[in-house]
Order: sequence, then structure tokens, then C-alpha cells
Amino acid sequence: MTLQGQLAPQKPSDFQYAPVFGGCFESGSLGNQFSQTAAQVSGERPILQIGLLVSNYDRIIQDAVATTDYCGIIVNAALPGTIASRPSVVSAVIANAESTEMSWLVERAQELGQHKGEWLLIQGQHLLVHSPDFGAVRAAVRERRINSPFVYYVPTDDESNSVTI
Amino acid sequence: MGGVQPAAEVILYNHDLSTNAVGVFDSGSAFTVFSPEHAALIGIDDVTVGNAQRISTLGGGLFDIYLFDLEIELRAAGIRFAGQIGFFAGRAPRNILGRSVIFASFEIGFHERGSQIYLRHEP
Repeated sequence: MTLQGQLAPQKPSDFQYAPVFGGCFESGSLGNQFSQTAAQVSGERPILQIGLLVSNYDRIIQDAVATTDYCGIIVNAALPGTIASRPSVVSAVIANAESTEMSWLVERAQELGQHKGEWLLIQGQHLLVHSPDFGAVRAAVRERRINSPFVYYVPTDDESNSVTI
Repeated sequence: MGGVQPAAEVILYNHDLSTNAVGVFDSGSAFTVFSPEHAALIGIDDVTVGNAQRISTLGGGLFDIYLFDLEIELRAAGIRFAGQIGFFAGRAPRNILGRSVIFASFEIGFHERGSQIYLRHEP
């Protein structure tokens, strides 16, 4: 293909990545004006919303059923009438989508402003520790013998507007 | 600036130790880098023993990060894989999911208006 041809706008059907896109999922977004927290993961979404990147849902679902490799990747590929007929895939996807702790952050996005500059130790649906001293968090992790702690720092206003790299 | 940033929950593994963190996708960063507090939670008390890598910023600044051979899992995908994970020398307000490890392992798309991220694992 000539350079002009490569630079010319492509029709959607020309997107090279679309046919091989194996699946998609939503991972949320962090707000950084008041605090960082993930955007709430919504439920099923229409196919048009993800059709920008994925055009081969039938194949994706077929692959998901055929191999567990895809099970954690199709969170947001809600295709009414297709996924619903394969509940085993849906349940696997939902289970992988987000931890309880992440959901806790999402649900309390507006409240995190009171913890600016603090470390949060979250376990399940509970905020165990919040402190500007990370040592307090670490001590709690040891004391409670938490195997895989979920720790989150709430940036200050200045930090929220910084660019690190 | 302000607004929202694309982020995801990840799990860092160092042998039998692990910790959960939230990182921001940043294609402008060559490395995947976390605040050193997360290193401490997986048994790395002194990040400066890692492989130092000098980073230059678009603003002209220079600083070091320290790389370790660890494992990382993108929670939503449930896929755990090995890679060089960096840590800042001091506390950072956010963790960075950069081109190494994350962008190298996933095909990534963003839907800004929908606050969505699309990913496909590339083994």
C-alpha cells in the first residue's frame, strides 16, 4: 500500500484489529479532582458501545466457551441473547471483574475527599485503617495477617494535578 | 487538569507475597511503576536495591526508578504474568501502568466518553 493509502481515512471495515480483538472488559476510571477512585462498573452495555473495537462477538463468545483463556476478558462484552445462553462464561467474567475492595472505592468516590493525603487499608467492604502514616497501615496488615492487602493512597489536591512521568 | 483517569486494579506478586493496588494506564510511560509502599507490602523494604533506571519526564526532569522481576495480575482479566516492575524511590500519588509489562501484554483501547477501557491479552 502506498503511503497515501496508509494515511487515508479507513472505513470501519478496514480496521485490522477488529477481527482479531479477542474480548474486552471494563476496568474503570480514576477521578483525580477530589480523590482517585474507579468509575463504577455498570452492568450490561449495548453492543454498539463496544462495537467500535470489536466486531466478531459470535467468535469471541464461541472462543470463550471453548477455552478458559477468554473467561476473564469478556466482562463487558454483554451481548443480550448470546451471553445469556452461556451462563458459565458470564459468571466467570463477573467474578473476575472487580474485587470487593475496588467496589468499595467506587461506591464511596465522593467520600474519599475526607481522606486526602491518607493511605487506606480496605478489606472486603470495610475501611480498616486510614492514616497519612503508611506505617500504621503496614502494622495493621501484620497484626491482622492480611495475605494480600488492598492499599490505596488518596492524593492531595496538589498531587492530583501532578504529572509523574 | 482534573477529571477522570483510566485505571485498573492490579495485584503485585513477589513469590508468596502479594498486594492489591490501583494503577493508571499511561502510554507515555515506558515503565510500569508503583509507589514504594506497595513494594514494602510484598517484602521489598528497600527499593533502591533494584535495578536503577533513569527516567526523563516531558517537563525535563530526571529521576530514578528501581526495577524488580515480579509478577503482576490485571485483576479484571485474571491473567498473571511476569515482568519488570518499577518502584519510585519515594511516595508517588499514583501508580503507573506503562508500556512495559502492561501495554506489552495487552491490546488496549479507550472509550473516553464511556469511561471504559478495552483490553485483549496478547500472550
